[in-house]
Amino acid sequence: MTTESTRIVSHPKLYVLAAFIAVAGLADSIYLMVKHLTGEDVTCVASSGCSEVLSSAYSTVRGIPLGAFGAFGYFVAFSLATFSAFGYAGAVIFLRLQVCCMLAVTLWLLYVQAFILNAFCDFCLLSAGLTISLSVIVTIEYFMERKHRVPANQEVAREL
Amino acid sequence: MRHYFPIAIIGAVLLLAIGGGLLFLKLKQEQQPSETSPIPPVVQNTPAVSVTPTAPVTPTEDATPAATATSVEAREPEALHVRGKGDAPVTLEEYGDFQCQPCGRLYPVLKGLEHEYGDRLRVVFRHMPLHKHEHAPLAARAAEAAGLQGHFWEMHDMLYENSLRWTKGVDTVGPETTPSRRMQSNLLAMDIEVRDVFFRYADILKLDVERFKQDLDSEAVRARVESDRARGLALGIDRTPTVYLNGHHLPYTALTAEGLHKAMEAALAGKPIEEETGSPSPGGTSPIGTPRTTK
Repeated sequence: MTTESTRIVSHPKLYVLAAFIAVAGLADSIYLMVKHLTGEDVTCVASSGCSEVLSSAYSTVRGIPLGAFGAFGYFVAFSLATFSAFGYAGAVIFLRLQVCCMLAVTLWLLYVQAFILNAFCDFCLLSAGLTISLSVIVTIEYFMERKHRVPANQEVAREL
Repeated sequence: MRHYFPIAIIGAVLLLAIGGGLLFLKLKQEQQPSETSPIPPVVQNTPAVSVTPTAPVTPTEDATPAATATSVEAREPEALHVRGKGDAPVTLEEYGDFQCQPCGRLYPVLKGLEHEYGDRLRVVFRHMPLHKHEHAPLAARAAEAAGLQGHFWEMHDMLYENSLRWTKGVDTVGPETTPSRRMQSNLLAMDIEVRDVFFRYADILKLDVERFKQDLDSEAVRARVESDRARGLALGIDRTPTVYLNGHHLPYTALTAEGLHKAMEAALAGKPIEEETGSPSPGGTSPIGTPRTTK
């Protein structure tokens, strides 16, 4: 019995939502990147550790601000979500992998803020929230897709 | 035709992201010089301070504490804070603000430079506390108060190394610091909390804390800080960090490990040093961040 699916992209609307979330993350990352490049203080509203977090040794990797990596990651996620929304089945797999990587980095950065720096930054928390939202969407879609998956042999029989 | 839709959408978002980012960056860079105006007038009547506008420290100048362009009375704090040998061929003079993040990022770069060049480099620090940094004048006075007990540079290092903490009124140096205390300090974040942190630093440096507390608000210490600031303003300095190498005003883009190394090599070889053109360039950025501007 084959497990191949004939309907990989079962809920394109979820990917449209994922694409919008990725654009929000992209904007957040670009804002942080520009602030880093100009050396400006970032003002926190809800938390109090923006300066501490964004000036820490963890805010750059080999001199490149994390915002740049974030912008790249969100842009890739947006592209894959867009392709998925238009029914490109292959993009779904890559989107899941991409979101997994982003979630892992997000969890690490949350750990750094909570236990190493003892400070939180609003914009970093927003980014974490967006990545977690993407993960939730991708996970929901994964299970919905499994539920709606139609084995290929049944589909062939139906067509006959 | 439908196949091109996602590519078109992705391309549009990419263009918007790049364009928006560049526009935002440009706007931010343009906003920063506007903060420099109006530059506060040069203090003409600073007590016991003589300002020489055209005289950053140069190797030809005898910059020992006893004889400097900026001098205060002998009973007052040392006139010039110098680290390194007096006969070093290169003198680097920094106008810094302890609460300015780019200054904090320059600090380890300068330490590395001192380590690399040893006796060939002499570093001079001058106070340039910016008004927009609420704790910066107090921090400058803390360094001066420590200097009265012969520990200016130790406090200087302590302030820069912990600037991200005391700026928020948080002291994570002390072993007694608890999460609840830290949260409380974060909520209060008032000057009085910062003072407590500085007292703690004085204690860590084994200073006479009671004397340190008295000196922190003394007129002599205030005048010493103001004399540096007045000198900086007279030189046209409108942001921090501003660095002179053998009297040459370095551009902000040169305030990196590589840039300073290059300037040092040029100074040691007697070659021309790349210099800031005119007054501090408004739009210049460097990897340590755009220098903070006066307000």
